[in-house]
Amino acid sequence: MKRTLVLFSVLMLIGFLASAQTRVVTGIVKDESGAPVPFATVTETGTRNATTADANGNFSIKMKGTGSLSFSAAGFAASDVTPEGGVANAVLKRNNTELATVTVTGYGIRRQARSIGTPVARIDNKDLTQGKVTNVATGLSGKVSGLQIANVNSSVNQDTRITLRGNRSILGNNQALIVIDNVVMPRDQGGTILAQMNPNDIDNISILKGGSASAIYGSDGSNGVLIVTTKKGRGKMAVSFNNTTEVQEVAYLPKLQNSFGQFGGEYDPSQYPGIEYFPENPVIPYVPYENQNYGPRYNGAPITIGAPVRFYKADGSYVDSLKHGTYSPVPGAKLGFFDKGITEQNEISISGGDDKSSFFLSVQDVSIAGTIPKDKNHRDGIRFNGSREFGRLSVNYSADYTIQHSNTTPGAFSVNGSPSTFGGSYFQNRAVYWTILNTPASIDLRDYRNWQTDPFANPNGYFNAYYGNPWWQIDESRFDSKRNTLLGNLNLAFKASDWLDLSATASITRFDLTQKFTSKAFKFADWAKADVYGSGRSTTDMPSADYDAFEYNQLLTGTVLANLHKNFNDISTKLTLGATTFDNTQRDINLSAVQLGIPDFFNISNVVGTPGYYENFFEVRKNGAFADLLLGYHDYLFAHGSFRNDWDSRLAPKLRSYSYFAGDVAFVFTDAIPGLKDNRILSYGKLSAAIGKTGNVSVGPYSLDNVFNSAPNFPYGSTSGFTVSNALNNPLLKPEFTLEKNIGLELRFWDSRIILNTSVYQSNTTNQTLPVQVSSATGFTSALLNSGEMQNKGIEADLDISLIQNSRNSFRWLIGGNFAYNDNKVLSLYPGIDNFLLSGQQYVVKGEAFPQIKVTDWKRDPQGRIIVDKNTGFPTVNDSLSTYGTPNPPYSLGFHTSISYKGFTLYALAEGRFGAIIYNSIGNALDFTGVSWYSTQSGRLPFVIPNSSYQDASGKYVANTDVVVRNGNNDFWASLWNNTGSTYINSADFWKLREVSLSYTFPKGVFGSNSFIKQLSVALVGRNLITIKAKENVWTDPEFANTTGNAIGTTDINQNPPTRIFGANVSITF
Amino acid sequence: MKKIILILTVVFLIAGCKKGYLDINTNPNQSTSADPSLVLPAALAVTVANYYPGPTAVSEWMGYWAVSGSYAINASDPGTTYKMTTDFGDGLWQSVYDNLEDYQYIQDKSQATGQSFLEGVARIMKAYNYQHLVDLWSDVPYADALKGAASLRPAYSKGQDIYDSLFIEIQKGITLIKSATTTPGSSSDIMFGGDKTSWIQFANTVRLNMLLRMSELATKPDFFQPNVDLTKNESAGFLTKDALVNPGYVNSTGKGNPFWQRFWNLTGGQVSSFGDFWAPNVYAVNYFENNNDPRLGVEFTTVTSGPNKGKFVGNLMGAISGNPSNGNYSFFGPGILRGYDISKDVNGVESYSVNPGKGATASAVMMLAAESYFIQAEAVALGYIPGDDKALYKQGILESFRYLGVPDYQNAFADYYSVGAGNSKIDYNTATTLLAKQTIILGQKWAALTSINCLESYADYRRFDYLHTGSWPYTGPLGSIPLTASPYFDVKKIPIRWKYPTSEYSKNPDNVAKEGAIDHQTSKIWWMK
Repeated sequence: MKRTLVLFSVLMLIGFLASAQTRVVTGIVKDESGAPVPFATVTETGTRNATTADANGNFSIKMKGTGSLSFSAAGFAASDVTPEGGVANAVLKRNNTELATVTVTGYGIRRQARSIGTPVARIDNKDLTQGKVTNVATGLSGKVSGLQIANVNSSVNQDTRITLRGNRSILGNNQALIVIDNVVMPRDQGGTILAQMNPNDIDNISILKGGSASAIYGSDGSNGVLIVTTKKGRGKMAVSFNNTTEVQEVAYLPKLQNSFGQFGGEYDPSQYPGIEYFPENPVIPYVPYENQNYGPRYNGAPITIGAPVRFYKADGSYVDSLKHGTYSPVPGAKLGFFDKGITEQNEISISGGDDKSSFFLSVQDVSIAGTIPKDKNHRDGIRFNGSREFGRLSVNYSADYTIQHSNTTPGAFSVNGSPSTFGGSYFQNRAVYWTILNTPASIDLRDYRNWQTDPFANPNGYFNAYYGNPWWQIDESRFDSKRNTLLGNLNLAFKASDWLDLSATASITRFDLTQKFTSKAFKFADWAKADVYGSGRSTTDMPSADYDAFEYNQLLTGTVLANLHKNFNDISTKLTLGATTFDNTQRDINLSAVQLGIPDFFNISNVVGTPGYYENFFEVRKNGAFADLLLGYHDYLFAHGSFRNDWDSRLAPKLRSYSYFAGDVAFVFTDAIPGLKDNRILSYGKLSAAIGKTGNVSVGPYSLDNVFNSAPNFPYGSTSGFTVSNALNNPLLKPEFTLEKNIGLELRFWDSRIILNTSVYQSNTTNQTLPVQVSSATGFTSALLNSGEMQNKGIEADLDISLIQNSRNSFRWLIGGNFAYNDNKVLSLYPGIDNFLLSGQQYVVKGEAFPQIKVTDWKRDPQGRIIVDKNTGFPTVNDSLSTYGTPNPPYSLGFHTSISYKGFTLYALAEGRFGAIIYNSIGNALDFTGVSWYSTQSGRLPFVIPNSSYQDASGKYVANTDVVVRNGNNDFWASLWNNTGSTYINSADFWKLREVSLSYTFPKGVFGSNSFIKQLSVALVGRNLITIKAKENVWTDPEFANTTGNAIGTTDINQNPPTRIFGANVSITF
Repeated sequence: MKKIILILTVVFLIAGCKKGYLDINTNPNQSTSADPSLVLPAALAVTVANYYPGPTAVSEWMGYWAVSGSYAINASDPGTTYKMTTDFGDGLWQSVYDNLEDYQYIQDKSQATGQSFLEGVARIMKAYNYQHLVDLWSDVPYADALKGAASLRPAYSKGQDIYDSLFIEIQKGITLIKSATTTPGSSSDIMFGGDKTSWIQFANTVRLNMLLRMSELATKPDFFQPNVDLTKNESAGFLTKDALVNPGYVNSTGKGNPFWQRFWNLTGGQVSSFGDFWAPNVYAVNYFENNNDPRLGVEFTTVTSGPNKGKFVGNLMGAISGNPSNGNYSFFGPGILRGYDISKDVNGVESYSVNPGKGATASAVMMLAAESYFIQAEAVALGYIPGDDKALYKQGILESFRYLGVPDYQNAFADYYSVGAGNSKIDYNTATTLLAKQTIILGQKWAALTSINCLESYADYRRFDYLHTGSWPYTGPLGSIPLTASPYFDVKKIPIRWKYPTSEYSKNPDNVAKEGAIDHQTSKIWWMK
């Protein structure tokens, strides 16, 4: 670092010493729309004297003669301007819009698309907001090859997982790094922060797809980077108002049955009063309080529901009364439980600018009501971006403050540092979704809403003896979460000379989170506790509970950059030197009370006994220094290289410094080879190659030294006891390294009517940080080691075609698609270890894609048939786990089309992912209760298990054609068949119609030339309108997961059902 | 303006280069160091919980426990079927090594800081734990174990070599304790409160017991005699009082005496499902009853209901039917589960009441004084140490009466011994040969360890009884060890050497494979004849 310091001081001095000679001409280069053209080459005509304009189009040149200046910029037609009075402003005409696009490739380094040899894609605001999304991440889905957005749940706080080109790290975070206005977000918070941004504030997003493109970002860039650039004001003041109103509805539920009512195995009427036999089915009774649904077929008979409920009269006397109903399913009862969630987005933005300054101000209010009644989320955000030039110094600043407040009925959650579980329903800690699904088909839960006044709906009298009334849960169990997020950054840029720019940026990113869970008390009435039906229902009084969590996460960053750019004859050079510093702190404190003294007084000081408590603090600091050099030859051959060194506080002092490099070459062969120049058919062709290495520290802080935990049950009074932790930490940890190679080919035909962009890549991540399970004879059970390698190979292609481009009636039809194939493989783990558990059903398996889902299966014969018992027809569960595949889809496809005619535009985007599997653990619960369609496949009658065999007397396996299962009802479906995981494994393939929008922009003439309305457009939007999933997937959305971590591929009861969204948007610019 | 940029740049760079700027990786959430005196109580509490009263299957094999008639016999239960998978004992294996790591830390850290008392204790307790491992698995990781990252796949050492090394460790431990200038207090040393003599006696008793393990070997290893001499010449002698551990057990869920809280569900205020499942073995009940042993009434309660009310009734291990169900068989009495109070009404009819506070706060047993005396008696009989074997034997029984809380235990013992004159299970004078002396000593040792230390009885069984059941002219101390009544066994034979655990096969496969296939009913521990 010392050397860097010296270097910078020298650079500064050079800047100050650069002083005037002869005649200085200044000016600004703009395009036809008045937007600055960055980095145009300005040459004194006929000489070698040249300079480059800055990012804002400003230039200054010392002219030796009195002639004109020649302006050129990639993507623009060249132009000559003769200076007048020391000023020369040039307006350049674009020859080709796309090619002129300037893309940010890191730390504000802006490069012409043609000079980039790494896999970089760009999404503009228009593409992002076509579907009027409220969450930026969902607006990216399906739009760029290699970028995968997984919507892991549908909720008012939508979770997404953002990856680029698959997974690289076994232990570490594999999500892409989020950079907003050149400020690096904390790695594990980027997605959350992105989700809270106003999508309309975003000007564009650069997507650096992998290590070869993102090496300059240092250790956090190894998974690729999304560089978000927010809007800057420009031109005359404009005020925009935007309203989007959307309705969200449950798209579908798991496939359920409508044939069988309540029964769970009780036969003896003397022991279990209240059960009823129907004449046509004298064997299996209807049990009115049962949670399982293995009873007789629905027959429309009059029945009683639940146990007798006591009604008190004013005089204290009472009657016991039964609820009556019909033994038949209620159509639409379950879907009808869910609300239609309304999302209302309003925003106003004001922007403007002049030669010296710009500003952009936006205020957004979003209120989201979920499909689960009472779930809501409210977000207010304000953003202010501005810039101002003071001579050679320009100041850029932005501030974004977002307040988010959500209130939901939680599923069960456990709390750090405390064995207690909170949330969930009062009986079995279930989520609302679970309880709704597992309600008998003959019950309409909408009748049980008024539990406060309706004794049949009250927990005392609720019909289901084992599961709670979800309405009670919704009303009494709340999770309130408030998150305030501040993003602020200040940048000073100084043009030290015509070839040297200096800039410094300081930023703060901070969020504060406060959460409170409250659950009200309920005391069961004595008559309810008496349990007249002897159902064994749970009537334990529930104390009120309280949980409070406080968290802040703060990131301070600083960056200094020096940009040197100069042209020598045919060669242009651009060198960026930079240094960064990063300081991230987080503190969590939480307190919990499983029982409060005064019921429903939710203050932690009201705890009975000792509250649960937890405190965790961490701090990570990183410094980095880098150099980035771009050489250009004749605007068609570019070579680029970068080098970076990082210093990371998480590693031991001797190991904390590590470095890496990246290099790429871009060759626009259509410009270089005379025979291809000005070719009508192949108008542009670029071949590129890139290689890059990135380091990644995938452990949290404090992973070097072993820790001591308070031993189980200690302290005993004043006797404390500590034990060596079973996790062996490692003081010699090193970063994981990813080496990524990429070859790209971009072809454009017929003046970019057809654009094809393809890449092939391979990345190898070595030195994986693994928590290896070790022999307990080492004194530990797991050890953190650097070992193992993971490889990704892939192909990506993006194709855009302008099918029709008629300028006369402005009829345009664009179609496009993208394809990505990623072949992931764990090449090695630790010597001698070929697989280990990641989490849940997800394993890391050597030689297979990461991760693999392993679950139990039936014992099978050598031919793969399920072995059944010759007498009972029942199979047995195999002891060892079977491997089924990876939950990460290797194939993904996206298609979009946009047709515009006059003011109308119809846009649609579809996305498909293939080759993955999913484990629907929710299926087990549905089969246990028997509400599932799955459990009715045999009509609840004995049947021969397909593809099964049994052992004959000689020990041979013979095909089973006649041995039926002993029981085709609950004994089979709820007690046996649901015991293996393999029952609930299925293909995760899907197609989704992600976005459809029809918009109309009113022609300018409508408002007259003097109208204060500049532009008005209206749109109808729909999202996730259609989902086509694998036929055998009768459960839920295969995109869902119970985590945003690496162990995706399991759906569970704590999720919400998938939804589809319809909406309308009005956008007015004044 | 230029200056501002310059200053800004410099500020950033200085911040970035400031010495120590990156040195912030000190864990603020968990301690990364602990004085060994704070680790010792946790380590001792875990050791005692691991072995007291021992694995349930071993308690069945040794005729102490049986499954109550309220439950069906499990066709794959290792206790009643003698079947053993690699899952058997995995929990104990892992827990013992986890515990050993704590002693290793105490040893290393106190060696570095010159806390020789703690270092000595750590070496002795390591030896005590490794002895248990060898006694169950014979060859286990030792020389290569507890080295953390330096050896992630520890090689296995031979059981005999481990014993050799353990003797050296025990001698080192004794020497270190003798040389210690400071001793820990009772909140650290929760076994002996820092008492040097007790620790040396404990170590010497453990050493003597290890020597006894080799008693039946025709050819003793080279290290045998030198260690006999060291043991014999240790002036502190052997343990004379119970080695009990108590970190301050309280009557709160999870914080009570480890044995008591397995049997008693504090939250529910009732016998736990574990306690409901296990019942005294009819063999143990009959042993005390047939020998007019006054310990009967403290070892077991009388039946509280049904036709057997007021009687002592045990369960037949492995019986598919016929065992009495809950309330119709005797339960473990106050000598074992210390939270039972017995009272007699005017007619002498006993009744029991539960005193959870007393049971929960009772100390856990590392080694009974009775055990020490029986070890000494046998060693005298074998000629390893000088002394009066008969007196030591009688003292062993007396200490057992005392620990179990037999009322007026000294007189009760005197009566028991005089009434038992001529009884080859009681009267030492009936034993005239070495074999008979060992038999009577080990028989009484077995009785004294009922439901307290089944692993020691199990070791004695494999060393001695095992040789003397069946075809031998002498029946073993246990008469004929009660074999299971379950029809589900493959081979009707008590396992003698445990299969290596699943965790080793999955995490240390190469090394465990070198040990070859272990047949739990025929493979032997190194000290077995």
